[in-house]
Amino acid sequence: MSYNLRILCDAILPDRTIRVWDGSGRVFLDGEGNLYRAAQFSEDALQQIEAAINGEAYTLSLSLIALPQMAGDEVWEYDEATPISGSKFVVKLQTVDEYEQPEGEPEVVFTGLIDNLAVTDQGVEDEEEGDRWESIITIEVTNRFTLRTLANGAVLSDVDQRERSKVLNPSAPDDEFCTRVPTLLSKTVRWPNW
Amino acid sequence: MAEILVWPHKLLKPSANPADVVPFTRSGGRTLGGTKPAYRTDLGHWRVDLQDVALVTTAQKRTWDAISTYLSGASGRIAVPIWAIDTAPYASGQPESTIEVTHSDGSTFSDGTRYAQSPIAIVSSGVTAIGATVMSMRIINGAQDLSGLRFSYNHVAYKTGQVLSIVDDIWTVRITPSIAQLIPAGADLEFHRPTCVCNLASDNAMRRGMNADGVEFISVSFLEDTRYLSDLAAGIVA
Repeated sequence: MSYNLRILCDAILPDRTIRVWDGSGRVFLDGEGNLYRAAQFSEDALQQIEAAINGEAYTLSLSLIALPQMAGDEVWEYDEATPISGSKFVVKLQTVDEYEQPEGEPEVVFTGLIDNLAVTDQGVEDEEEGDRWESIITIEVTNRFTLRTLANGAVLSDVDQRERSKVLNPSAPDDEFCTRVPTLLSKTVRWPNW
Repeated sequence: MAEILVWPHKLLKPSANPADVVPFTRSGGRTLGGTKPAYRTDLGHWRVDLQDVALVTTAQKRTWDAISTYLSGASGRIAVPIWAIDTAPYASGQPESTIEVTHSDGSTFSDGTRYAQSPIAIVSSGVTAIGATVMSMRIINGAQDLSGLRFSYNHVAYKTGQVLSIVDDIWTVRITPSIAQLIPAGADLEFHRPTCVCNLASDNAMRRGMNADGVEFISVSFLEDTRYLSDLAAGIVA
């Protein structure tokens, strides 16, 4: 038969698991009976996954296209209601037999934590089919090699900043960056005037 | 099951109806030597073209515009024909038309219409689950060959491939794409006038307008409504 495999993604959210597979067609049923929805990755997604698997990249930014705008809105709403940051994200490869049915356990190729979820609506100019709106969902995933001290979207507070600088540079005096910044608010900077 | 509008095939006839599953493989490109190894990562989706639909009469043009209004761009859902009358398994080996039958006492409905019956009767044998790519069918009335055919069940389209086994009148065949909606045992499969649930390929695909000679030939492309099928499989819509 033909060379066949399926790329599966699990996003394990607090109250449910979103399962998608990289396909244009119908649902895919894995060996355990889970349904995977078809959602096509964008052009460079496979390369991104590869870079993430190889450890060349610490973050995986995965875009799902072919999602209608309404579905994009739903994801956005869900993200607003339930924080998904920190949820586990798994990319798996599933080999299939000659009847396109899953064969054996899927191979886990990437595991990371969801760091951010971005929904973009953008106008696309298309000469052939006419201009249209496209909704793209980008999941930013970090793996264990990511050197990041703050979660995406978090606000750096004075306390955080001081703690951070104490760790980074223990012998330095107290970091007063956050107390100094507001004092610069109404400061007039004069251009050199010789 | 939600009501799905069916393309009025008698009124809006295409001159050609190329419909097939768009295959989907990934490859690293062609090598210098000319080979191109490819991996299949997808089962594909249907693409249905209705080429050169003749719009001559007022009724045809009005129906066209009414459908266009109903669909409102690429998000609307319609079942379009994926006919293959030349290959459909008619018992006589020749294309047959829909049989019209009366009530048992020979009477018709009050407006004179009769029951329409497909000249082909092929039913599923056993339950076929979502995701399956092999299916058993029983021929009640039809040609004794079920490979290389198109059929639909509830407007979800399939192609049959190679025959895997024949036991009495039960044929087990390979099908593609995978089953999107559970097919119960003994369900009637549509081989005579199969349809595929689709969206318009682009928002303004049905654009038309008056022209001087009053005759228009418009080609329109449809893509399978895979989102609806996914929702159906997940039980979000019934």
